[in-house]
Amino acid sequence: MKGKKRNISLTVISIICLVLLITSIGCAQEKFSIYWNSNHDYAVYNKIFQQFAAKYGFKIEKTTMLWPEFKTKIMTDFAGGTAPDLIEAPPYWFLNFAQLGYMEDITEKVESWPQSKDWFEAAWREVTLNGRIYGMKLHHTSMAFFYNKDYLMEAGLDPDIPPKTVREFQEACAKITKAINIPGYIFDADDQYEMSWIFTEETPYLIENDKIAINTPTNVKTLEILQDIIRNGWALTPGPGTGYQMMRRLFIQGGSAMKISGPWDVQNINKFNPGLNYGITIIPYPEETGPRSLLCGTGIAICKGGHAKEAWELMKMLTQVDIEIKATKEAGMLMPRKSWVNSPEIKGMGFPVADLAATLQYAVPATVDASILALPEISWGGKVWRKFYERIIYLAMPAKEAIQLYEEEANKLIQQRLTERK
Amino acid sequence: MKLKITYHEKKWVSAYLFLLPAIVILISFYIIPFIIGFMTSLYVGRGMGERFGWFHNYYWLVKDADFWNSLKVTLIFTGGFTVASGIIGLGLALLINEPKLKFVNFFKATIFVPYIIALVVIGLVWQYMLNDMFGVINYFLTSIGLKRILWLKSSSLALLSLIIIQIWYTAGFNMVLFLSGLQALPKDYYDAARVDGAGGWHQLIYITIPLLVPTIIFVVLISILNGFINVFTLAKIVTQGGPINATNVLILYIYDLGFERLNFPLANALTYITFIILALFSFIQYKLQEKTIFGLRK
Repeated sequence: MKGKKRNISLTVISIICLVLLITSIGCAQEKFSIYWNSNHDYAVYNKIFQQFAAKYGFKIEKTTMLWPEFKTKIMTDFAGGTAPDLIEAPPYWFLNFAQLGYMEDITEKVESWPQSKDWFEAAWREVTLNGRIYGMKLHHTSMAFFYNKDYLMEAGLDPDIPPKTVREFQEACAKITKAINIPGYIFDADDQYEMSWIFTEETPYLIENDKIAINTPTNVKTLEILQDIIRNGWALTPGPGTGYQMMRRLFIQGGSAMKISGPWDVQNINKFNPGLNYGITIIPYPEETGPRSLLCGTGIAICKGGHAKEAWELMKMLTQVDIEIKATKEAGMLMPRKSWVNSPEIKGMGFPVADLAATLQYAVPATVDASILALPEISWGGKVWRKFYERIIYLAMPAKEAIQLYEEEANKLIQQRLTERK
Repeated sequence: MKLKITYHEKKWVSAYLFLLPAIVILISFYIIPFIIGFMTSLYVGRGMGERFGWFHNYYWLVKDADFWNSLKVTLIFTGGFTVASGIIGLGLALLINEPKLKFVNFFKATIFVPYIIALVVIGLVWQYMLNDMFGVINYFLTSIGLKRILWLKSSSLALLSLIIIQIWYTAGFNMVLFLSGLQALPKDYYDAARVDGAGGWHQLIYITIPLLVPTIIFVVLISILNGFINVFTLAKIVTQGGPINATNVLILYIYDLGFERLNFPLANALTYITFIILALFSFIQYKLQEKTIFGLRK
């Protein structure tokens, strides 16, 4: 009886030891953590992660999130000292995080990497703070004007000649809404999208000479036209708490005829409404000036305190031109390399990549100075900008007054920041 | 040499051993973060560039118009729903407490249901219902010939909408609290009042409400805590503090300072100001409960 008991005890102890041994072997494998946007979780990148893990013997811990929770999580991680090794995020975040001291300076790495010359200049400007580089662009895109060809046709408009100027856009909204009872346009819940209206050839940047540069008669007129469209019920506006993808999904499902979006929605269209007959062009601009657009796209960067050396290797692997081309084929994304634009495969691609690429030439990093000044609140997504947007689309405040209020508040913050820095 | 432990010492040691896990949790997750949070609030700057600045952040907040706006919004929200939800909860409790009422449990459960639904779900559902373009509430209003109401896009109505949602969410819970209070009231007072010819209204005013004061104080305190803290979820989901900061409650402003403006010291300072306000309310409640109210001592 005693022997039997001893045998059972031995078996239990052996099992526990075995479990501990196996788990400790698992733990012994070093981890490499990555935060990635859920909408960019492409198969081609996952394959690279696997190759990287095999090459360096890492266990990859990839967390995918949407932007709203992404920022909360990463800030908590920075504060708690548990930041990942590599993050994919909008490049202006890198500048904000770099000013807090959380990002790895990769200037020397970039400068000694011959391939960095293959990148568009603007792509580096977006990740540069005080002459130091804190990340690299993964996608290089811009805001573009999406329109539903079927709706334009039903309203008696030529589907191959979308509105070019703001005035034509206003007329198109009116015609479509009256003819087919579908809102001509849909404003986004994310104020970044509608920011595009006021970045024209005349005012391509939010800040110039340390002052807000968008308070011009042309912009006031554009905003008044947008307000007129809302007032007449030719456009849908979101509520203040509307989910950030909801309005785009509405367009995709045929809820409106026109919408500002970007290449990131090509995959969503293919997924949710592949039958959508749509076109892409530059965002309508005022007659008095030429077009410009907001440069977008995410980047990749290394957080301090992790596997910086290996993370840099992974960054290089992810941005090889053949990987970029594969990502474009998979999701329609545009990329930051000149050799990507010039590759025969990309040149041979028709709609939508060619149309999206055509809009890229008008794109500028319009809000980068706000990030350099560490003032996220005055740029898109920030409280001060948000108030400006809400005054225009909800309160129908006279455009001149709204833009003046924004200018005063933002300029005050800019001056405060400049004084602090002195 | 053998160590001798007395019976009393044994009891003392075992009591503290049993308490140890709770003490460890309390120190690790409450007391230490409380101290670290306060220390952080005394720093100025952001991220790794922080430096000690005494009470600079508190001084900054006192001068900040957005802070006063958030405090005002929070107080209006809390005051508005505390009064309305309390009155509705008490009214429902009085109805349910009616001896002749049938299906009491069914009514109780139905009215209480909103309180067991996750606030995130409530926020999302109400956001759709209140949408001015395709929300069911405006659909109903327009179908009976009324105008569309911009529930969430108007500065004044957005806060009212949040108050309505919070009333809907908490009225059932308040009803349960009042009901338990009502059922504990001695019947003798009512019998005596009836003998003296007091009607239902007089019984309510002169017996029920005075005797319910401890419950009322408890409901008010719980509502204030709900108003200050739980409102974050609603405000974040339904309005995101907008439009034009009309629903930017204190906790949402703390979140904005910390996670959007990346200024944790300032966010911590505001957290402590909020803590002081809440502690003050709790202290008043404690003192009120201690006092003799309407001739009855709690």
